[in-house]
Amino acid sequence: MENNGDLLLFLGKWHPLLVHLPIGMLFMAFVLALLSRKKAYTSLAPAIAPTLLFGAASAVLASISGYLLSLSGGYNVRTLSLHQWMGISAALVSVLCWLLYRPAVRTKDILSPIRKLRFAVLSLMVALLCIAGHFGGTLTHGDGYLTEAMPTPMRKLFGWQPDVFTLENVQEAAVYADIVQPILQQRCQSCHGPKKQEGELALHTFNALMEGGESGQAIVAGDTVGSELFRRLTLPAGDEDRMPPKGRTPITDDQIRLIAWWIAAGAPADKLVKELARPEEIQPILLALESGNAGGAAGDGSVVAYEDIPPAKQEVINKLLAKGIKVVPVAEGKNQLMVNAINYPAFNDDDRELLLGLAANIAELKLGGTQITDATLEHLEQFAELRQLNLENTTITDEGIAHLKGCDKLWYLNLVNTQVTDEGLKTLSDLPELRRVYLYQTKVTTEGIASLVQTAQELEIDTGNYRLPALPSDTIVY
Amino acid sequence: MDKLLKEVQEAELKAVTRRHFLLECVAGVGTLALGSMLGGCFGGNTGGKQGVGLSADALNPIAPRLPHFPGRAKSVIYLHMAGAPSQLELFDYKPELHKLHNQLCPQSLLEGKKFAFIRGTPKMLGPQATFRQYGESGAWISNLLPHFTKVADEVSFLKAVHTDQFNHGPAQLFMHTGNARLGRPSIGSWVTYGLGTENSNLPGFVVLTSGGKTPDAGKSVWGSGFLPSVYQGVQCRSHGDPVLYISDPDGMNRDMKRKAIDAIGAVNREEYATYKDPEILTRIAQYEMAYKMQVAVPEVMNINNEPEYIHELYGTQPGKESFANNCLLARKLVEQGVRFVQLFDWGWDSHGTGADTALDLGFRNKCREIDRPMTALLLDLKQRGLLDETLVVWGGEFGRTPMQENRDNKDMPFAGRDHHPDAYTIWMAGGGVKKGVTWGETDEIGFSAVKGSTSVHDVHATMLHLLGFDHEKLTYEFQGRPFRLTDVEGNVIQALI
Repeated sequence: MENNGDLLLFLGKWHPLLVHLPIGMLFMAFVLALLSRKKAYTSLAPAIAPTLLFGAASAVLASISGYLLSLSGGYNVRTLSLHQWMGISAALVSVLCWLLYRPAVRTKDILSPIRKLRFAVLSLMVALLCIAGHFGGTLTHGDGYLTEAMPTPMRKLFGWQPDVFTLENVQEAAVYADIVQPILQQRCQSCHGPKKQEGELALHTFNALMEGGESGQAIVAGDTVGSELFRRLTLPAGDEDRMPPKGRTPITDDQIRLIAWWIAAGAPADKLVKELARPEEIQPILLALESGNAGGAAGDGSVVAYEDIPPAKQEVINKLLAKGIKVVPVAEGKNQLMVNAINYPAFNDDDRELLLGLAANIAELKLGGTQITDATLEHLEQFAELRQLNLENTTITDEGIAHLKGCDKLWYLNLVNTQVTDEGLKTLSDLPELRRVYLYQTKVTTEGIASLVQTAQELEIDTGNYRLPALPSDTIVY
Repeated sequence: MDKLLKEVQEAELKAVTRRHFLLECVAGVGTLALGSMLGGCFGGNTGGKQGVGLSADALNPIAPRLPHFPGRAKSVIYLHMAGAPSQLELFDYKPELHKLHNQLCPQSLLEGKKFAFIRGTPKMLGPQATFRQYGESGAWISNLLPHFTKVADEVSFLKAVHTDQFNHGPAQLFMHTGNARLGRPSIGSWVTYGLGTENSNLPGFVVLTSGGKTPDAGKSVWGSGFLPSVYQGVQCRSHGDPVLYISDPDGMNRDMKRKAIDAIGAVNREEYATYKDPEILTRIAQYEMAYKMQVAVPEVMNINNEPEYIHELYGTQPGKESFANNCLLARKLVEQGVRFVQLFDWGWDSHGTGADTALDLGFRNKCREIDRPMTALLLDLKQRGLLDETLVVWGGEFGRTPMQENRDNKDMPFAGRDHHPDAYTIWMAGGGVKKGVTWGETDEIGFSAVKGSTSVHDVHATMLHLLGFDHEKLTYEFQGRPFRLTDVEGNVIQALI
């Protein structure tokens, strides 16, 4: 009968609530039994049997409700059967434990031969309980739930590799296996994977993905907008059907773009990246995968790219810090340094030795407003990592600028309010990566700039001195 | 004699506390080391640091930390137009709205919507400004911002930002703390927590207000919430003492102050050794900061020494409280290594209840007051080479309706618009933001987003990204769980970066 079915499922739904009772109770019994073996705690012994009785009774109830719940389906069969049989075994053994610990009713007792082993049986029961509990957790929270949040240092302790999502060579990578599948694994498969298939949808194999789920086909090859998977990913935030659901780690824009790109290309099972057309907007995202930033961070103008280089000597850094000079790595895990003398305006040529010790590591050097002269810049060609150099409000001249030759990575140069002239600009045309030069309040002329622009076309030169002419509307008060 | 004895006693106490402190340090260093070793074990915090208590740099809580990746932006200037300026008179050009002017609003737009003041069926209100496209990017800018048109190509627009609050207080809190309720740290606090300050003599997060009123949400919009209070915004004033009580009182000289701070610091360190409360470290740092600020702040807050052409550029008048003065101060502060400068300008709540809130009167005055200064700010940052690493954000807490406000279902004396949370405009410039991009689009009357809908969390995620932070990883452990500015939402707007 229809009603009957509902009632059974309703009872089944009590399982998650009931199941925690026997866990606590039976553990308590185990603790009591353990303690009562010590002389000081023998008085606890009589409490073991009643605790076991309650524990066993609730275990039986939990098993029944669990079975009823399992009828509703939707669980991974293998994990479910492990959980079910471990749970039922634990319940049965807990009943046996109660019988063994119960004060003997009759003198002759069929259980007496194994009564001596009762603590071992109790231990076995607790072990079963733990295993059943673990599989229960796996059923509700997904495979790997317990270990996925394990911190990397601890993972290393166990010899497990962290799930890094990087590609050696993105052009040679398989679009589905190396890019799409890892994204699905990262963001979707705790609910739509081998262990759990919400909405009857699994995404862990190519066939399962293509098969779709309750709402029909998930992927329509070649039709991004018509694919249910894409629709669900791009519904407005707050929509009930949006995936991943609220509260789960959201999928990033880049990841959605990668999936969309793959679907649009016909959702091939085994094509490589280089075999598909790569629209302009996809290229930076693909490149970012090589640096391990599938979260959508690197590979664009807002983030500066830095290679791995050996770290600087800490004692050299400490010398700068002692003077009040800021020395900070450009980012976590990078050995390039930002050096800023803003808190040490007395910085002068005598201090340049300090910088030389960090020559291989300094990426940004801010010496604006200090006492330096051209001499400080003498060994600048050794600063191979230098991307940004601030020399504004100093007495630097063309002679100092000449030392910039060899700073092949220099991107930004601030010469505001210095003695630099057109002569100094000539050095700059040889710097391949230079994109920004600031020349406000210098002696450069329009001719000098014009000739620099000719040789360095990507360079943005700013001479400032902006004015906003007065407009009639400036004075109209309404 | 009594006095002398007391002094000896005090000196003794001083010695004891120092020794005590050092002793505590021996145990403390071990704990710190353990803390950093375990650091990786508690979620993805910045450098594994769990607030100030466990940080290796415990005695300098505002020391620079590390971004997750090398972002282009190093500092932020946030220009908040408190009261919410009308996007329909500034950037979101809707010619269709002209045609509908004075017609009754169709019921379909009103169904299921709640407005702060509109009741019954309001009339549509055509744009109260004229528009043209400017620059190579073809950005639409109205005639109310004539100077700003010069920098059209430096700026990128978010045209379809939405919030979920339609009252000023909660909406301002949402815009600045990522949550409409009190108690969360402001974005300036998050950024200073993440990056520290460059200049050790100035606060990392400075707030400047203009327009004669502080924001409706009060000072919580620059509060530090559950972050250590050292990260809260320091409000500076542009006349009188820049920071209240910063000058020494009569009869107190700088040496005496130094001694007093040393003594208080020693007591505080002993307190910390006993109780390990990070707020005590904040207090020590703040005493030290205040002492340094006594010299540094009046210097940086003084705009009298700026050359005349700079005053002309910004339209500044020294000694006045104005948005123009605050823009110039913002440039000076960023130049001096302040991480986050927050400007609030009050007076944008254009309901049309009076001449001062009428779109064709008071609103135009407000536009004039900001037009020159904010344009000057971008140009001045640019000529000093600061715009590459300074992110400038402009916006209100929500937008305004395409309908004319009809408070209490009556016609209003002046042209005004009600609060509208569904779609409004924010612009960003500098700090690694692409130039000349327009992201998002509203329907033909500017009522709802049709493309590129952007949430407040998305704006925050993008700002943090530009500063080098993964917004999902910049967290702080509080009440048993890691908190972040973007809560559980937010996507970086890829079109802007």
